[in-house]
Amino acid sequence: MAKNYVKPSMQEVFQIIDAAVKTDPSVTKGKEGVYQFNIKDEDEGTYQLIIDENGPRTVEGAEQDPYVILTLKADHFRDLVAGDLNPTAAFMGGKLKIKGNMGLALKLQTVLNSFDF
Amino acid sequence: MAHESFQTVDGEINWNAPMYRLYEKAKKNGKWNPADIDFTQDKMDFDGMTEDEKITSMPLVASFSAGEEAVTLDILPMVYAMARQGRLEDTMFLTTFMHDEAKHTEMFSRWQQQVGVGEMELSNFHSDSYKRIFYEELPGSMERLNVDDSPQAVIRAATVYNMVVEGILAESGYHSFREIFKKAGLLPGILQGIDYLNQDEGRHLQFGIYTIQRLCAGKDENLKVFHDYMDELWPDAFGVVEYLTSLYDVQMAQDWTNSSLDFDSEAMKKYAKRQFDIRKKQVDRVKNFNNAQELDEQLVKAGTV
Repeated sequence: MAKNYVKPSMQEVFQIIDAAVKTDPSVTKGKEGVYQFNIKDEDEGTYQLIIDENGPRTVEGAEQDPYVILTLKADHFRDLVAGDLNPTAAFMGGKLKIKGNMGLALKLQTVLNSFDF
Repeated sequence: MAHESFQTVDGEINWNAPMYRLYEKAKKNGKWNPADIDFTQDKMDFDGMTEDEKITSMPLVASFSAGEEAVTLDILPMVYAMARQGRLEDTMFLTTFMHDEAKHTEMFSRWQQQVGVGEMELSNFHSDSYKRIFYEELPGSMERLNVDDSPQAVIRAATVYNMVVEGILAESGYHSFREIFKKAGLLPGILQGIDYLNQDEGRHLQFGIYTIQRLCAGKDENLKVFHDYMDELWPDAFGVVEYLTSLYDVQMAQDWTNSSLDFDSEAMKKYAKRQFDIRKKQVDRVKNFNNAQELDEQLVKAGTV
């Protein structure tokens, strides 16, 4: 029987990430920067993952100047967070557009892998 | 501008002019056709590469594609300047130069299309240093020739175009391609194209070195213009290489990266610095000549062009 699965909203996904990154801030050390996610299509919105001296956190909207902007669909972002899609494959497959610091973008998977969502 | 006379009816082409001899070389050696390069194996190789290996090639491709397009579009003011100054042989050589650049642009675009990355947005791989050189300094110095073709303006244009873009960055780029993909036994088509490009760029470099030298012979103040501009551009030229190597280093530092490609970033940076030193030394040989005529005579005698 198929599971009665309800997709979390983008707000919920970022709340989950926020909780995860605050649980163990030490794992984001050396990955300082501002990742901005522009979510397209369904559940559109702008979110940031900020890793700075005040600790890692996520915010809704563009609170700070982003180092790198990642534009993708909500479903692809969910896959990214779930580990079903890696950012490199998403970029090469045209599912993810990147603007800004490519070095930081390359570290995104490491950041995401650091947490057990 | 109206013509007052024509060299070929008042006399003839200067068959011994260094740039005429280079024009002959270009006609003889520059016959390759990008459309004849077979990218079938490249497509198979690319499809078989991991996503991490594929992305390693993208910054290089992004740099070369835009770079070749830029030099194709930006060479025109140099052609106009040489024509305006009545330098027929230089102008004749530059017609081959323009054709070469168009083929280089075509070659990269064909490769991108054939391996399936033709529609990808790659400008995100252009760093601030890259943008300063290719988006600003190159067109700026070249377009200045439309209103100012003084020796100093020509020296600056040839410095950024021939010495920095071609002599440092393109040379370093060829080296990177070979270091990464030749060693890995991958992408034979683009490597063949790179060999052709390298051959063409050798002639372009000779044009640049000659042009700067003839304007600096016996004129230390002009030689200073060259060295000052090289020094001014170097931080960004190095910045381009540093950025590209840093992306590779960051990628390889991630424990999830699945790549068998191997590349020595430090050696690459040293290679770029060596190109910078070589270009300066090549132009500095003009100190052996008191004027442009002596330089021409020596080049003809030595048969170097």
